[in-house]
Amino acid sequence: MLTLGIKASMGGSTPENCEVEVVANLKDIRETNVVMLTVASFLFRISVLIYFSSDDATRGHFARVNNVDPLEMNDQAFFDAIRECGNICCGTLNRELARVYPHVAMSTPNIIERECVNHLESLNVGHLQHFRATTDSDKPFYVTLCVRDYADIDFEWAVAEDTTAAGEMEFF
Amino acid sequence: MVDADDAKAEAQRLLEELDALQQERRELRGSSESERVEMQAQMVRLQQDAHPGALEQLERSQRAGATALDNSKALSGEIVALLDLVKTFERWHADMNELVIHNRAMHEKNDEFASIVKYMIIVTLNASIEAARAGASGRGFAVVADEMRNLAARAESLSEGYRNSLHQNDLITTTTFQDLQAGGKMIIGSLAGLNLINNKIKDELTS
Repeated sequence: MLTLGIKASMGGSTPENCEVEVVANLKDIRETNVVMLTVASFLFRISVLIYFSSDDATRGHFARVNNVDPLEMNDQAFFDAIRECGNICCGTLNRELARVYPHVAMSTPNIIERECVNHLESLNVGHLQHFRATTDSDKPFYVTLCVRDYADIDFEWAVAEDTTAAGEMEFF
Repeated sequence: MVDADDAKAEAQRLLEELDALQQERRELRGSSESERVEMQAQMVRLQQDAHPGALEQLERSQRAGATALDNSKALSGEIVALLDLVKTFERWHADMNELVIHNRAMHEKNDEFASIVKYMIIVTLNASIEAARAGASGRGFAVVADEMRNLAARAESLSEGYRNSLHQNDLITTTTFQDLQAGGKMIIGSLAGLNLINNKIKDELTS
C-alpha cells in the first residue's frame, strides 16, 4: 500500500520509474525536515513521514513533478508541494485501507524537524519501517512508516486492477 | 304394431318417471340451498371470529410504526446534535496549534540559551589561557575559570537535553494532534453515514 503511495506521490508522470526498497535504519537518512501525516482507525493509527531538505535537488524534483520552473518555486510553493506529496502518498494508503477497514480517516500534513523522528521508538510503536525511493531525481527520497495498533490486526490485501502498480504486499 | 293399451301404459310409466325426476330435482335444490345457507352462516361466524384479531393486529402495527417514526425522528435529532462535534474538534485543533506555536517559541529560547552557553565556553577558555599566562599570580583566577568552564559544560549538556526533549515534545504533539484530527473526521463520517441510514428509515415509515 505504502509503495503505491510513494510511487504515486514521488514518481510524477512516470510512477513506474520509481523504485522503492527497505532501509535498515535511520542513520542513512540525513535530511533536515519531515512532512508527517496520520491515518487513524478505531483499532490503529499509521503515520507516514517523508524526509526532505530545502536543497536544489529536492526543489528541482518537486518543481519538475509540479511542472513549475525551479527558479519560480519560492519557499511557500516548495512547502506546499511537499505537503501535497504527503497528501498523495498518505491519501493512497488511506484509500487502500478503506477497502479493508470502512472507518478510517486521514489528518492534514505537518512539517517537523528531522530530529523529532529519533523519538519514534518512544511512542509504543508496533511496526516501524524505513524506505528509500529512487526516482528520476538526482537524490533518493526516504519515507518512514510507523504503525501503532491497539488490537490484533491482520489482513490480506491485493492491488486493485485499476491501480497502476502491480504485485501483492502484506503489511502486518 | 303397438296396441293402445300398451301405449297408454308406456305413457303412464314415463309420466311417473318424470314425476320422480322432478321430485329428485326439488330435493337436490333444497339440499343445495340449505348447504349454501349453512356455508354463509359459517362465513359470518368466521368473519366475526377473525375480524377483531385482524383489527387488533392492524392497530398494533400502526402503533409500532408511529413509535418507530418517533424514535427515528429522535435519533435524527441526536445525530444532528452530535454532528456539532466538529466544533469540538475545531477547538482541539486550535488548542493543538497553540501548543505547536508554544513549542516553537521554546525551541527559539533554547537555541538562544545554547548560543549563550557556547559563548560562555569560549570566554572561560580564554580566561583559563589568561590565567595560565599570569603564572603563579593567576592560579586563583585559573581555579575560578575552570569552575566557570565546568558550569558552562553542564549548561551545554542541559541545553542539549532540553533540545532533545523539545523534539520529542514536537513529535508527541504532532502525532496526538493528527490522531485527534483524523479520528474526528472518522467519527463525523460515521455519524453522517448513520444519519443517511436513519433518513431512509424515516422516509420508508412516512411513505
